[in-house]
Amino acid sequence: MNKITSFFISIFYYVGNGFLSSLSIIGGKVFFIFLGIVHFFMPPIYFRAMWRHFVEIAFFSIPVVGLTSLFSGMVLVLQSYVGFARFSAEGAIANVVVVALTRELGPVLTALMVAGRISGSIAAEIGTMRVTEQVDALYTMYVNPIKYLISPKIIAGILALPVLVLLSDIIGVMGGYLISVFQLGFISSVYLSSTWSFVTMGDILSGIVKGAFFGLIITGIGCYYGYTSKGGSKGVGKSTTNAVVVASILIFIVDYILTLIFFKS
Amino acid sequence: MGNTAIQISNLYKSFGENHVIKNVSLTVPKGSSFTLIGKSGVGKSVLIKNILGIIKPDSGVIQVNDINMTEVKQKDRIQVNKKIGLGMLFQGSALFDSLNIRDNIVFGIHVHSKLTNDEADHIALEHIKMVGLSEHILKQYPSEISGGMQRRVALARLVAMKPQLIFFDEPTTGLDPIMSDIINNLIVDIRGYLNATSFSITHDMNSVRKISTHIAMISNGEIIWQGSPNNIDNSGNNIVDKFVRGDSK
Ligand SMILES: Nc1ncnc2c1ncn2[C@@H]1O[C@H](COP(=O)(O)OP(=O)(O)O)[C@@H](O)[C@H]1O
Ligand SMILES: [Mg+2]
Repeated sequence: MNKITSFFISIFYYVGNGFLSSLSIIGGKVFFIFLGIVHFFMPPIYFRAMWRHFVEIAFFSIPVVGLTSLFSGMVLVLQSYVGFARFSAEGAIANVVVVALTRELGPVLTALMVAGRISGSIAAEIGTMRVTEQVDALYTMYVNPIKYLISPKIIAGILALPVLVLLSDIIGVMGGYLISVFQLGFISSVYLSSTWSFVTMGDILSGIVKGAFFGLIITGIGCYYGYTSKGGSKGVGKSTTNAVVVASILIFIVDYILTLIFFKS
Repeated sequence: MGNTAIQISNLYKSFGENHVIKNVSLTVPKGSSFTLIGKSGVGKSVLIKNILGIIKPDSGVIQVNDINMTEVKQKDRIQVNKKIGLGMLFQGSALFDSLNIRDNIVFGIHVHSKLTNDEADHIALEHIKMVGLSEHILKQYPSEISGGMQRRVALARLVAMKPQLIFFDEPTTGLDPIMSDIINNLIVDIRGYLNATSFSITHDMNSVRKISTHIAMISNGEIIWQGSPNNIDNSGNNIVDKFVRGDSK
């Protein structure tokens, strides 16, 4: 009896401890990203720095995002055809494809590709500045490192991802269209009109809102791991890997939470 | 305002079980060139970072120009540092590697008050000459110049901000004796030019003799001796003697 009690107590202890420490790990990151966002709006506003990062994230991700979206759209049509042909529902392919792309695949695939490009490079850049004391040097030159280094990147991420998601939606639907019309023999005008008539503003908007959150995760997590780097170049390498892994996992978790919220409303 | 630039009383700082600073009290007079000596890893950099507000002390009081820095709120800290005119030369120079030498030098001014291109060129040129470097390197990046040149650019960047209380963290570490001597002379010149107080950390005895008006030795987290270049050779303290002789035993 006593043994069982202490067994349960120790289970509660470990679960509770794990829960509390994961709360504090998440809390640290949330607070850091929150600080980054708030500082952006306190004057002076570093708009030019933000714009530079926006271009770096949005413009230079176009090839990567474009290619992944194109092929995802193409594959999606082929796979849905396999399934839908089994109960003669080929007519629904256009509808399914556009909903899957705008609500889910566009935002998530875009975010994952951009996380690979950006989270690691932000962590490496800020991490190097941290371990070579450039971050402290900013501070001793009376510049708030959060405001100068972190805020413009996070805001740029929040603005850039929605744009990329919209682009991904368009290219993905185009990819699906190409395969449907040129390989599966759909009639072009019918495919397009069932796409347009079926998709709603809500589908597109929910994807774009997801994009904004993913942009915040991609840049915020990269900044967090870079800013808290320690232990020389080895430590920076570790932060870089952690940033990409954590950002990617968070994208899936937050995607689920947001989908649940949109699903309920 | 009094004649004291920095007054530290009963400062403590630990990292976990590592008790780095134990009950340190120090007074740095205005206009002095105060040098803190001590073996590597005893907490000299940590002490400076406490004064600058980069690290928070566990307990104790740090006053700078009669302002109690330990009571300043974190969000006001940078403004207070700016008002006092704190400046720092970092151990590894800490130049911004994404900016060229010109932009490194003018960064501190440019970020607070917009400069025209001509003004920036002028300031960069003036300060690169002050540290004895050629204007040709202004277009280069920190990774393209030697460690000694980087240290001199870092000095130029520091002087451009006209600080009144300057911290030098091991300014000659990693440099050859000739370059070290150049840096020591620059430190003396810069302090005179800015009419500033300086607080240096070093374990280079040449540097100590050349730049200091006041010396304190830290060992095992405590200040164990204070004096001047005149009496450091007969300090009567065993640990100081060993340090001066460069004796490891
Ligand atoms: N941010 C930090 N976190 C944990 N430990 C630190 C930190 N900074 C310094 N230390 C530790 O404090 C001690 C003193 O370091 P430091 O002040 O850099 O020595 P030095 O006298 O050579 O400048 C070392 O043991 C170092 O590991
Ligand atoms: Mg040090």
